[in-house]
Amino acid sequence: MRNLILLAGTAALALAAPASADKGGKGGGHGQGGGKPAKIEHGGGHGGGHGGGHEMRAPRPARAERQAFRAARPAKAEQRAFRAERSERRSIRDERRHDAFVHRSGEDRRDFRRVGRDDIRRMPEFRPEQRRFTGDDRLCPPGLAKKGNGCLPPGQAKKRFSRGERIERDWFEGYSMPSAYRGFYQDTPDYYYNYDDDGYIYRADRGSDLISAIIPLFGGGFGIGQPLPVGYDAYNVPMPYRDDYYDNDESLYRYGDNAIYRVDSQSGMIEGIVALLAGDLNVGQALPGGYDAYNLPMEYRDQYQDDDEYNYRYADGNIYQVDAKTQMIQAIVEMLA
Amino acid sequence: MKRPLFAAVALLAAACQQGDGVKPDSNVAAPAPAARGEQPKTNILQALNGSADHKTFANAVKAAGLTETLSGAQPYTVFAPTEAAFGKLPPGTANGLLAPEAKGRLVTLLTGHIVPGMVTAADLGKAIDRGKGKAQLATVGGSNLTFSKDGDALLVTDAAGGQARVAQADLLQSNGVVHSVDGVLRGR
Repeated sequence: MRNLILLAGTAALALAAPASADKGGKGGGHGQGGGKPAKIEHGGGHGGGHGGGHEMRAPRPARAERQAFRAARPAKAEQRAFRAERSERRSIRDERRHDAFVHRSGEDRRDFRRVGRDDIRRMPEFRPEQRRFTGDDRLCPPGLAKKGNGCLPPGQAKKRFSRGERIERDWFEGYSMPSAYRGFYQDTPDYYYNYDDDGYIYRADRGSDLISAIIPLFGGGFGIGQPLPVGYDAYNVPMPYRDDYYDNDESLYRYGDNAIYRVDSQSGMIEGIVALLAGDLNVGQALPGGYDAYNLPMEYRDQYQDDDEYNYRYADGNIYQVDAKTQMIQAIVEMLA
Repeated sequence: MKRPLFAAVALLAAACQQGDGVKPDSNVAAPAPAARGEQPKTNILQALNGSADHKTFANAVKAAGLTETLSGAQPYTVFAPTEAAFGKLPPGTANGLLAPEAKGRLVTLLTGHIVPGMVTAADLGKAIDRGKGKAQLATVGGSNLTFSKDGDALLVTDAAGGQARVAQADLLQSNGVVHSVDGVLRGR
């Protein structure tokens, strides 16, 4: 019996030896003799065994070649032309991604409106006051939910207090909740909220003063040099910015908390803020405070001048037409891309 | 405020001034405005970097990771505090904004100086007249700035009630406009 076991072990080693000697690493180890093709995405992966999987390995170029290709990137005009060619394909993909994002974010209340140009099929509303982050785990952004940490992304623990810790009320004296969030984080008979000006809102139990949720705000969940919060796998950049900021081999772009962030595609670290958005103009709503002055870029001023009938205001890549009398936002007349 | 936020900015300013950046031309007090009708050749970031009077603000923009924002195609109006404005702040403390965990605060502070679109002094003047002496601009940081006139000068009041004066207006750039202000504004 012992000899049989030794024999079997030797045979197994003999089978495994060529695989381990192969530079492809794990390749060949799982072969069943039936010729199962290799996985194209992973050149030296779990492929093929005895079925000739190596011949079918991916046509993906070597890393050096990819880098050389990136180094010789075409001019911006050529890139735009290329993007135009693939726009149809991308639009389908982007719609799917966007739908998934909206659905997963629990923001189904977002509506899509027809705007003034035929080529704009739909335009998501994005408002700072939307409950993007919440103290209720069940309503956290995708990926942050059910983590049991009050919506706190992993690696974002640069906060003053921890969950479950007793809050020090004195610490928060003199700090007030940012106005954009006051409507959503109002004290209740059970909880009260404090903001510490470090980018976090703390929800504390009124009876015990224990912190039950930590909600990262601007600069907290999306800090430069920090990892992208979990739940932002999908491309979600607002439409007017998509021509300028699209995912590529080197960088990803993600919208969150009124800014578009550039993220290193390899490390997942946030590297910069490429656009700041106001996020408070929407078709069908009254012009909010803060847009008293005409603010169009120079190149559009001849075309869109305030008059007795209409006013025009710029925000977030769009030029909005506003009824001069009612101050209702009527349409997007230009998307600056 | 329990913690001296602006003191930390002053600390940042001091630190930045000790940096090894290129010494700007001391004769250049502010970014040069483009001639009327001429397309500006520089963007907001380049203008700030080239201005001796906005070195601290430019360095803060860099530290906050906003360089791509202010050099991009989207238009912004920036109310840039001068060196003298930063000099008015209390002396710094160890708890400065240079610490990595303070970047959020730095971004909040800076975004309180940035308004979407391109608002010139003339646009502000008209809005103030129309608003019977006051006009508000929403910053990308979420707070509003209130503008009024003091004779020919433009005054800006931040969300905390602090006031600053527009020292030099209409420094037109390819992606917006810079107005130089003599005070640091509180975002929210």
